[in-house]
Amino acid sequence: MEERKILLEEEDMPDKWYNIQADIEIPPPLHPATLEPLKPEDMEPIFPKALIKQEMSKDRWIRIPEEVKEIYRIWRPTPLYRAIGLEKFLKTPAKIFYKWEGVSPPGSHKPNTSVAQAYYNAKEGVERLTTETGAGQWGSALAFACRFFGLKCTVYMVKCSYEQKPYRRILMQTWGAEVIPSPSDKTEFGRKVRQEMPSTAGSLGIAISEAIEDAIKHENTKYSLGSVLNHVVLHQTIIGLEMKKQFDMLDLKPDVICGCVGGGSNFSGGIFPFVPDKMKGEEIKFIAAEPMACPTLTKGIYAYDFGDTAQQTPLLKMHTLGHDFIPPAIHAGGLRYHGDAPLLCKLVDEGIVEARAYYQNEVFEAAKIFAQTEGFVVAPETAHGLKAAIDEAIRCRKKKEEKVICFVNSGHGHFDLAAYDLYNNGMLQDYEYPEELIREAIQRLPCI
Amino acid sequence: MHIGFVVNPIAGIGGKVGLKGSDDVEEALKRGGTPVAPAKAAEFCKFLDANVITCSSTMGADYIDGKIIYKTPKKTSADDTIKACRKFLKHGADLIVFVGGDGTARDVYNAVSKKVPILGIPAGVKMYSGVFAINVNKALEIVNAFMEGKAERVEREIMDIDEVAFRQDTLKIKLFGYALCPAIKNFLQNGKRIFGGENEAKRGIAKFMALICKEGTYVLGPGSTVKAIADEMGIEKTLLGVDIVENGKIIARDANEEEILKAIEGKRARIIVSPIGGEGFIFGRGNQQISSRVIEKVGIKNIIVVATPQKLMQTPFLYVDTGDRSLDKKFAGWISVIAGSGIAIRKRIVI
Repeated sequence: MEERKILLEEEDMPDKWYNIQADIEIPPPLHPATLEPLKPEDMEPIFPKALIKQEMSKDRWIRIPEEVKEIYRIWRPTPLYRAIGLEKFLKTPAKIFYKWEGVSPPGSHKPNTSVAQAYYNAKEGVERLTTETGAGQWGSALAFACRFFGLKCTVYMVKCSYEQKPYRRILMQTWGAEVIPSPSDKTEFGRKVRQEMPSTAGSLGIAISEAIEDAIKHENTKYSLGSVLNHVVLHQTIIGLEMKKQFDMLDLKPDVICGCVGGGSNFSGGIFPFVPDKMKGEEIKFIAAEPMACPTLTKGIYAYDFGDTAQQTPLLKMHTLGHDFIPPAIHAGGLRYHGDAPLLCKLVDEGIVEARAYYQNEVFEAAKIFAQTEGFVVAPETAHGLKAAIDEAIRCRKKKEEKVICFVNSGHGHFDLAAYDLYNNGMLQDYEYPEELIREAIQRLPCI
Repeated sequence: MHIGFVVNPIAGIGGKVGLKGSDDVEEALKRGGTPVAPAKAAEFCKFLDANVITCSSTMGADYIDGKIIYKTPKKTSADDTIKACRKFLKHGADLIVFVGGDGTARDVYNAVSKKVPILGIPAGVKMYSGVFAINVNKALEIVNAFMEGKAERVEREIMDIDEVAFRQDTLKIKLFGYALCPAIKNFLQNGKRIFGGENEAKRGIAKFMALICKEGTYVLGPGSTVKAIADEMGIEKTLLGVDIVENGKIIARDANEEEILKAIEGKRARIIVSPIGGEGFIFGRGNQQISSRVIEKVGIKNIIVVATPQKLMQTPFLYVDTGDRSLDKKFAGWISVIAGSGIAIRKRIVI
């Protein structure tokens, strides 16, 4: 009998995060005003010292505090599943695995970092955290974490998601967070955007600007980001570290690891612990899957850009579609971000990670196949990584290769059923990024 | 809330007897044609629960109990539809529902323009206009939503063909204007929430495309989406005609095929067109000035299609009918339709 779930005991949960900055070097973030490399004190208005230290650390291993592990134990270690039903359906000789992060209370991988961030902030006497959220996964993860460390939580939620996904808003409110549709009239930047674009759908870039402004302008308030930054990605490496242990239990090594990329944290968390193996010469393929509507890694340029629309954040060297690009409101709201984690971008730039972009309909088709063969209904974001895994498994069938494929199943889709409904009724549009025309349009913009 | 209800009793009579419309009733009757409209009207009225104002006998009262405000003559004509609709307006109709085809749609539109929304129940031989519900059930759903205040108003094309030319196998379809049309919010509303309505989306397209159009020669097709681009550039474009813009200035207005060919001679030009909502034709309906000769000269890769996400959601596939089948075939496949600022939606062109 083939094992379906590979489970770790609670005591087997890793006690350190893996910091890839010990093994790869990225260009430093730049101060938005001086364009000089950012100093730790530049970040102090928005982040606690412990997280700034992690952001810049070169230590390979960073200890996970006992208090964080205690909360992690609510759902961690998470199971690694063998997708036997999907393999049969695809008639592939490949073995497909998925690391199931949807078992956390907020239903995604996001609390891996929100719990850590809430802990460090609380420890340094912070009283309130502000943040932004797209689909609501990050916002609910932070609302959940703040509750456990006695912090107040204010979430700026991208307006189209706020309206499309009321259940996530309710979830956040149930954990005690204040949820504000962005752009809002609570911040100067929000008011400005509303005046210029009264019926904008909002974007992550705009919501980030609002959350940062709120944090800077209020005492004992810090800001928390759910992706992109080094310390966020660091906390997510617990995914890959557990995966490694689980594959060891099976005496297997993954040949391919796939995951969806919005800001890049779940994918990075999954693959980073395997990157040193690849750098040592092991053959392992990493596939980052993103939406055609916001194809940052496949169509963006690798350059310094702001992390937010209002140009308040440090400049990060990353793949970017431009900080003022507002992606269409696709249903994988969590993947609507113009940039990506600089650490991941570096790996893409060096060819260690391969990126692919997919259309909404093919992604939902993959999600439906998964629901019908494995049972779990995954989030539209997650389904991008799943689509890449399915494509790989089909390739294995054609080439008769018995590869081991794994994807990071980052969250469930129970709050995304309206999108499934549209897909089931043939009403989903295949958005894409008109690259050539955008280039032309940019050339014709007046120089600033 | 008053619903004006008018039936073109002879609509659909020409369909099954090989006529391409019902303009020639005598000929249709001679060939043994029967109208489609009465059955459709009866089906619709059976389930309609509304405050209706209508016409006597075959133009309304035969199918529904309503207040009769127009007397139907024995032999009806287009003129009766127009007169009846004008009376509906006078009596404060909030919505006019008609049973007929493109000809009826045109008559209703001539009478009411954009004063009130109109909705067609399809019963004609040809229905190129965008004001028709898919079927009777959908029409009932839309009317009910309208009465509950749950419908929105969208602009839809009024199109018709020249039947005399059509009977000689020459297809000439003209865009006559834009009517207001009720649409159910459910799926559309999603679009509305996301994009702030069709006008917001149009502005996004216009802003983006106006930047592109600053340089080079552009053949701009008919319709309000394309006109919005010209508006954004500060150029006065005709709504229903084909105009040509060069380096940000208009060089031809309401141009015909020859004028277009002359204007783009020896230049690298682009064509910007918008499909007809629901129908999905990007060439061959309402823009035949942009002929196969023009398209071949410009090249398919230099064609930019623009449409709002709302319109595309109601348009499952795109079509071309340039009159040259071998050219049409070259369009088969996916096309990236510009649907906002820096936003495209891929659609399939079906041949």
